[in-house]
Amino acid sequence: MASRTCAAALVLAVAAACGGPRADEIVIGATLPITGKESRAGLFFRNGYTLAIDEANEAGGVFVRTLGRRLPVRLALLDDKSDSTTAVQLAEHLVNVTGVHALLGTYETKLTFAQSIVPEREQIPYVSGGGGASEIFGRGFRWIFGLLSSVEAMGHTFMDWLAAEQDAGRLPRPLTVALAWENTAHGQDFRNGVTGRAEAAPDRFAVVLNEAFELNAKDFTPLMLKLRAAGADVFLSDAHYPDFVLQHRTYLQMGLSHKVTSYGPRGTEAAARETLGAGVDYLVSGQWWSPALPYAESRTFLANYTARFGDATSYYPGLAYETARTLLAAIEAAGSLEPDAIRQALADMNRDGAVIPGRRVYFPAATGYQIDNPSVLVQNMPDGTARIIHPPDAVTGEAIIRTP
Amino acid sequence: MSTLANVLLFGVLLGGVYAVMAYGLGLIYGVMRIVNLAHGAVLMLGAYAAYALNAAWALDPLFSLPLVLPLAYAAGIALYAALVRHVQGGPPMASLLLLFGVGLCARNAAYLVWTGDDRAVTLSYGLATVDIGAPVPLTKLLVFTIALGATAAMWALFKFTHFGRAIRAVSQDAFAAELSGLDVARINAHAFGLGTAVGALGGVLLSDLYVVNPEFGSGFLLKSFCIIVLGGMDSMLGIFAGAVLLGVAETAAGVYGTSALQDAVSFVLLVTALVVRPGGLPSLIRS
Repeated sequence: MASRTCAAALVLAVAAACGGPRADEIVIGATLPITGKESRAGLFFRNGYTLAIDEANEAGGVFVRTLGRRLPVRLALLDDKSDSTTAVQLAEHLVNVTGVHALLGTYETKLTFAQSIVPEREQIPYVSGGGGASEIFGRGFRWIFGLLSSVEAMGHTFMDWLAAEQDAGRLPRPLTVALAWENTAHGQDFRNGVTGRAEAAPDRFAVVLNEAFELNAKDFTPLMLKLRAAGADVFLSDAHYPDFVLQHRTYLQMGLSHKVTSYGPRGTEAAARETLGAGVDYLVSGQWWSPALPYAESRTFLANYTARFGDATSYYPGLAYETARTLLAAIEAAGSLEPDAIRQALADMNRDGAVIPGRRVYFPAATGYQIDNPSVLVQNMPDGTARIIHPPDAVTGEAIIRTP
Repeated sequence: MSTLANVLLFGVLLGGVYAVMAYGLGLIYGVMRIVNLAHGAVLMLGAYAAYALNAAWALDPLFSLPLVLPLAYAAGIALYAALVRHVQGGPPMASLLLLFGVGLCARNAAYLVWTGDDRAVTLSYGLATVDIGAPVPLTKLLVFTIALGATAAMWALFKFTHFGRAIRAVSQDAFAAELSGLDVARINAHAFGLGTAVGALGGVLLSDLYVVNPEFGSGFLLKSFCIIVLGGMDSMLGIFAGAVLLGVAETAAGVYGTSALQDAVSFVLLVTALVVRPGGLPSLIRS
């Protein structure tokens, strides 16, 4: 009897030492790039996750129906150093050693793509706000849920907005489009979004240039020479930040101008205005969240986030916050900490009052459980502000269509 | 201006950028037969030095050269004395691994100091152009001019100065040079310092054109290898010519083919040069 008691005590001590979940708490695991190449986004995501979890705890925790009480939430956060291999290893540690009830995703498509294998294999719910490439969700996985609309959906949003401007008589019909995209999953998705809409409406759009470029290119002169020769009405590109700066600088130096110019999600960064000055005026960019969104939920979130963490000028904070809130809402809807129940609650989710564009969180099975909300399009103004020009329920000002 | 003229003009200007990128690597290999895998880190640190001075004092990167180059020279000598001299003359793998490790350490140190955020220098003339039949970026013209000047300066250094002749003597036959009374170890240290300073020059100039982050140097390192192979590995004039050839070839590939092929051009040229003319352009001219 004494030996059994000692054995049980030993097991409990070992479990406690390993940091396994206590029966009186919900443990959410996450890895983020707190250091390394993606550390800027990683820190925003950490803040967003932390705010959502702290708000839940300040409200008394998450109600778990099968236990008949509220439980506090603990975030077990590890630094994956912006490295895919580390992200996978740490996810395995969180699941198998820490024993988390669910996982929040890391940031960046490559890391998310690699890491998502772990929750699928271990059958642990995984909610991601940091990977938008459709290849993440096109693998038939059941345990991965994405709050970042695909980059292809962003391409659709751009084209839908251009169509609306045509209907308003502010853009010509047909509209010639020059398209450039980085040769990655991200860029290919954007290309598919734009060309898909163009092919579906040949009376509206003609893609006169469709050109890939390599990530971290050293020179965009050939692309810009082709762009000039194409003589398009609008120029749509999808680029990461260093390529956007070099590409747009070359664009400006060559004296190019279009009715609408966009680099996908780029252009609203404060650093871009410091580097390129007035050259970023009137650029249109697609965002997965914007601090300028007029929704009441978004304004409240922004006030709370800014008061606690300061800068919220990118889309990362809102997306991270809503990702964590979604997982907590799923746990409450499931009424249980069982992975199957949480997964089903995520699959069935149709939740209003979100801070993201569209204000609704849902995960269609048809997209591999990746949300399909529109992006928010913002346009830079000369006074340094950015006005929202799409979707209609969030517009804060009319778009400026330039005369080249 | 015709398409071909644009290709030649912008290709040559791009060649100037590539030349300053590759000089440091070529100098150290040409003199010491060491493949400096830390060259990317030298470019990166040179660019960060320019950025830091620009951010702190609004100093134009070109005016930061009198500060940065002597520091880089001294750092190169210190690195040689502390580490490189122990592996020089030994198995090539030792120096490769050592300098690869130095490069990794430098990159991680950059993450600690500056984080992974992208940084850019602020230039009042960053978007300015000069019209020579087509609008040419002023920054690229400046970089090209400095690349020409650096080529001329190094040619003159090695041809007309005692220091340069000593370096050439050591690179040709270190034993004979020692027998002639030259302090080979001291000359190697200064050669490494000079190569590091020239690498830092490349980094400072590149900061005028590109966004800087800790991964900045790695993409340039691979192209630098291609250029020094094309250029004959131990000829500054050859490196300049190789850089121009690469710049024109990449621009032509992008204009007449697709932009996605631009980066592939350097590796196609590298393989072709190694197979057909390992001695690069100088051997082609000599034959």
